[in-house]
Amino acid sequence: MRGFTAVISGIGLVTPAGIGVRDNWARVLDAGETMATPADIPGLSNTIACPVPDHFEEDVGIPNAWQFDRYAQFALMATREALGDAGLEPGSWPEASRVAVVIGSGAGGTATLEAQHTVLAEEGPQAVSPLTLPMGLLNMAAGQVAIAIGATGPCLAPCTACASGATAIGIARDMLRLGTADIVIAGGAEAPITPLYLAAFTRMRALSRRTDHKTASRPFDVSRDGFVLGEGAGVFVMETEAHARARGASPIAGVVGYGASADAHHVTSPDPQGRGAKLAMRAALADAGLPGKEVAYVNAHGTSTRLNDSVEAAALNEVFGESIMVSSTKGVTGHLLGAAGAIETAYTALALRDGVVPPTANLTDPDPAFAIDLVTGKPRCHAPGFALSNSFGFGGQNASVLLAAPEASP
Amino acid sequence: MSALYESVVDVFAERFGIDRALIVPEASFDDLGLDSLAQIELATSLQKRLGVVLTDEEIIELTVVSDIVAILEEKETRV
Repeated sequence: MRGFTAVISGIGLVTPAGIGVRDNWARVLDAGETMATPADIPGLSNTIACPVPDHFEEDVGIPNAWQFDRYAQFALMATREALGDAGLEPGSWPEASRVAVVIGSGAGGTATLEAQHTVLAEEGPQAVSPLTLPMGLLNMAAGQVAIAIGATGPCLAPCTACASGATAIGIARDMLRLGTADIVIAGGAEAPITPLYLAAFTRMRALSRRTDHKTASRPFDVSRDGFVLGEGAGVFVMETEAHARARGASPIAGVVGYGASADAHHVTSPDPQGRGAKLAMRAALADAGLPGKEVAYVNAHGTSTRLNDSVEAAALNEVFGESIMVSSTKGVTGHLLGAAGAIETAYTALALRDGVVPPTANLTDPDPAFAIDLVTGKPRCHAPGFALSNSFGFGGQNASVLLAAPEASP
Repeated sequence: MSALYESVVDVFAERFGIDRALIVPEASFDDLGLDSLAQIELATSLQKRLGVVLTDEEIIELTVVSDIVAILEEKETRV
């Protein structure tokens, strides 16, 4: 069953780089700075994070937005933009049961769960909100989106930690390939800028400790020292080529390959030889029947941690050779965990649409150990026919999404 | 309009973001877009603000805004 293309016909983005695709893409191409601010968590001094700027509950566009955890609010906002972009009107489906929703997350409604645990500890069980689980569960972004748009096809929330958004895209494509759905609303959503998540990542020494927050996320730079936590959502309208053609939709890009793997090595450290990363990338290429030399650009997982970037750069060199163009948009957005794979696949699709590769912010001094073509400074004009987006999650769970420009096919 | 009634309106408006103009005595929970989970949440908010305890059985019996004010008066709740 080779050679299947799932068409991306709509994109919605809510990220630290802005609300909406247009603001996001402008800021990511500019690659001026990490969109971080002080996180203001009691007891955690000097902690920074990348919040979604100017997010208000009213912007979600439905009266009961207060019943949504923040991560589900982001998911619904991104879904609305994606549907509009695709020229689809929610609720007016010819066949609602042919519309599926696959929105992954790593942390789900952790803000709600943390707050209600505090209520439980301080005020007792009678004070706990009955909305704790409807808001807190990890599948509720998907559930609330299905409710809001009246989609009655399969609805689920994959979790592969920081690869969840990419995994969702892979599952969505499988659904389209198998004929389970005609349209899949797919992506990832996350709102983990909370006391527990920041404390836990700090205790793991995973976060950057740099004091200048504008330059803290610096993937592949020799002075990188950890990631910066971000939040947001990326959502796609994906459909079969036949379905898109029949309704006259114009494709932004096609998902032509998907590869997933497990390191089977360690819960947080990548396999030192990058075994899982290479397996995922090669599986995506094999899925499309495409030789690696056809791929011009990789949007790397590139977290700005010492280990990830070293192992990923070596794996990229092995799979694609030293001329592969690589950048990490996390220099701007920080790391959105389970939403990262979705928003970065979106940036990769926009790179194919516009024939331009976004540079890596703050990459002033590339690590000399890396033998790949790291794109830094200004956006690089190019017309890449094929591009890949990598996402690697805790648990050693890896996913690579291979995209093609509309006119390219494997 | 009693101070108690005003407090109930405050809870609806602040906790659920409902337009104050819609919170009239005959408005039902349904009218205000509140489901059964939101009713329990409302009871929690009233308890926090006014110190009044409503049981789950009492909450289920409530249908419109004036029912809430009535039961609070019955319980001699003070603002």
